[in-house]
Amino acid sequence: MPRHDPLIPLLTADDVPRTPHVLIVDDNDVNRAVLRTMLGDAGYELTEAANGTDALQAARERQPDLILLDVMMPGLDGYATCAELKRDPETRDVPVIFLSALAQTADRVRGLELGALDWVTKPFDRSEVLVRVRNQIRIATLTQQLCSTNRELVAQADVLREDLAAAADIQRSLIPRSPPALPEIEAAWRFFPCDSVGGDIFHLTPLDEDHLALSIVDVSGHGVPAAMVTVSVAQSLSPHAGLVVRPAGSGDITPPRRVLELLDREYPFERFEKFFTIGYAVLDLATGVLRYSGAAHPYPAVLRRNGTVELLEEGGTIIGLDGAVPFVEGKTTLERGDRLFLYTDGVIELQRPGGEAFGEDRLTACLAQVRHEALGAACDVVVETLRDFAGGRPASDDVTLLALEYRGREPSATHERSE
Amino acid sequence: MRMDLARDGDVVIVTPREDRLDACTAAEFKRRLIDRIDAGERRFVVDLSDVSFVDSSGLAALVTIMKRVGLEGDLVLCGAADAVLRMLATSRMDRIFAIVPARHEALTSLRD
Repeated sequence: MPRHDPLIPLLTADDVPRTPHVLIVDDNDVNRAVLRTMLGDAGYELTEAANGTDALQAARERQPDLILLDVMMPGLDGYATCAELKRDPETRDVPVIFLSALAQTADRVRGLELGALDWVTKPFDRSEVLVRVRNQIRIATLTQQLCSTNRELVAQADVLREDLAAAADIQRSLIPRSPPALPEIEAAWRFFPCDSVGGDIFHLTPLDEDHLALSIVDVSGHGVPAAMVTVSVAQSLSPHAGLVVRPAGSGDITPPRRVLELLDREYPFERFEKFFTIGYAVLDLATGVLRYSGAAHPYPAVLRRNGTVELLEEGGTIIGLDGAVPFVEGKTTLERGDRLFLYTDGVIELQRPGGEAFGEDRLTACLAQVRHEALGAACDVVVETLRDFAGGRPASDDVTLLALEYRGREPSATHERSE
Repeated sequence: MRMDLARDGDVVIVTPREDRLDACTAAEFKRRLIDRIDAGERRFVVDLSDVSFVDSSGLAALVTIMKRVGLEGDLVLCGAADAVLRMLATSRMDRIFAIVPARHEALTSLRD
């Protein structure tokens, strides 16, 4: 068992997984013997070489943790040996310490420029050599660990990125692909999640031949947790789930106020430590009557054909507070040519560089201004206005705008349907 | 996030020293208050004087704290700026949280 100098402890087990291995290169037998005793006593595993050529071969074969390299040797000298070690990818990363009687600064600089990490001048002090050897091995080992951890992290990040892209695809599959083909309405939307997955989701769902449900949901927070809650809420709001229409055949449409009460019961805050806001409305396609309720969601805006804007303010508080505030239902009637806009707070809370928020007033003014544009074009103008307002900075929240224009039902269509 | 914690009797006074209680700051705000709740504190005043904006993450943090404090505890908000009050009113959270204008009123309300 080699003696171990208590003043210069070997590497701990955490630093190096095995006994560190040092290659001693010196043409002088006495120097090698001194180093052999010194390093052997300190517990290192050793290999020796008496010239540069043997050193290169030993370095390639044994992959030492460190090389102690004499400079002045016949044949391939220390400098040339070091240059070759640093050129070969097999040995490039093995730390080299020069051990030489050359004491000029220029000599040291040359050695260090060739890629050696340290320089010890002969005659050397025992403890200095041991400390320098130990330090360089520790640095090299930690560097290796860092590189390998880094490689693992990069690989993990790649996996996460792929998962996130897959999650984004799943989420996108839950928002409507195209507006429902109904003669009574035209619909358009613009949806900009601020991360690859978002906390906003919206739906336009025909409940029966006379009723269309509109919903817009904003789950608190962003990223994967919020996105997963949106997926769950989207499922609850699908007609098959039996919440927005009573199950199987009865055909009863759940009133908006009741929809929010049921969601409030299904998504208690404690369930995910997340809440969501929702705007929910049911439009009677034949009459234009719109019943709605909101759970702390930004007020939907009705843009009348004459350019006036009404905000739909009835509702209650956020979903998940166990009926803390009762949900109130509101009612309005859309006339032919009236437009309804639902949006998330990412629209009105979008900030300009000075910190000022876009706000409800700017939004309603903008909607009124573009009322003669086609619905999709009007949405584009709103998005453009938001972009200008933010001064080109990316939004810090998901931005969702859902627009609907009511066209009324042609008498003939009513007739056909009633047959 | 920067935040001051002070004490008045058994009341912990929490003052976020941030302009925004949002996705960036809310998680730490929540964690530090939950640490206090876990340590047995039950009565809190949150002084929002420095906060000019609360988003849904900030609101979620306040709701979490309110829920954790529970029925036997108290959470009073004070110092809320107009924009924050508007946000609390729009979301009807003004009917759920105890909200008073100034810190001394918050402390008085907890002494009664």
